[in-house]
Amino acid sequence: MNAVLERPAAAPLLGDEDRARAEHYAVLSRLFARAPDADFLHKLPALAAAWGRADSALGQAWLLLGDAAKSSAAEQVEDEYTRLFLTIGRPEVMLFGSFYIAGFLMEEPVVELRHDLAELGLGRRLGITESEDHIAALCDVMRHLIVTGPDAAGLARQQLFFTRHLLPWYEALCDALERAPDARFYPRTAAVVRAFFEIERLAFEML
Amino acid sequence: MNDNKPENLKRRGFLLAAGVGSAGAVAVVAAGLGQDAAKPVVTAVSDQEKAGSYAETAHISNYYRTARV
Repeated sequence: MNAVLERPAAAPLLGDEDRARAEHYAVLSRLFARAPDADFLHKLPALAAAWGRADSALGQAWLLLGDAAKSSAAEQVEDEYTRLFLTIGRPEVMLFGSFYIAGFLMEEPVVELRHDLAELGLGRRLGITESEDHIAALCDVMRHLIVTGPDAAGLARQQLFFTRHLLPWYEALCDALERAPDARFYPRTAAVVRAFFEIERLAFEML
Repeated sequence: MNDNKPENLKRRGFLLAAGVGSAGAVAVVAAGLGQDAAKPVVTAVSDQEKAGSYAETAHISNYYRTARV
């Protein structure tokens, strides 16, 4: 066996665009997995500046989110996260795909998702209570698929997963985020999600 | 991966033009962020855990250490 064959399957060479895609999914996952703490909120403007540019929808969305992070206190954003996403009963904004696809939580879309995840050898971490159709979980899966499979077969897996589990509902989520009452940080994330996923959709169509 | 296929070049060009091409931003900015800041919600299932619960495999764990924000 030579050195190339022994290279870990999870560390293939990634092009800049795939690394950037994986990083976008990582940051989106972090934004929705839990409320930003002060440290993350403090770093977000620098991240937004690195990705921000005036000549693309995604770049503009990052700049606006960076501005929102700069002018927000962590306690404010934490309160907003809790109010929007964690309210007992019916949160103002649902972060679970099954709600948008089926109208209820934990319905058939989750069963299909679990089947697809099992085929990919993926599952929930111990101690995680959110179901797998949480937007942060789905972003984690995409990040994993990008990093472990930049080849043609891997791109096909990414395209299939994105098309089946994110494409059907991300715009409805973005609409809900933008309409969220009395919120100033999370509505700005909607434009980033919308712009990035639209780019993903178009790029997959080029395969 | 065949990087020279025209569709791959077209796709790469599109991603770069759309603003998805500046890699490394997270690595630079995330230095110093809490180690548990972004524990992935979904992760790989290791062989011995397949029976009933989930856990990280070593290589996935290594990857997430590099990509954590």
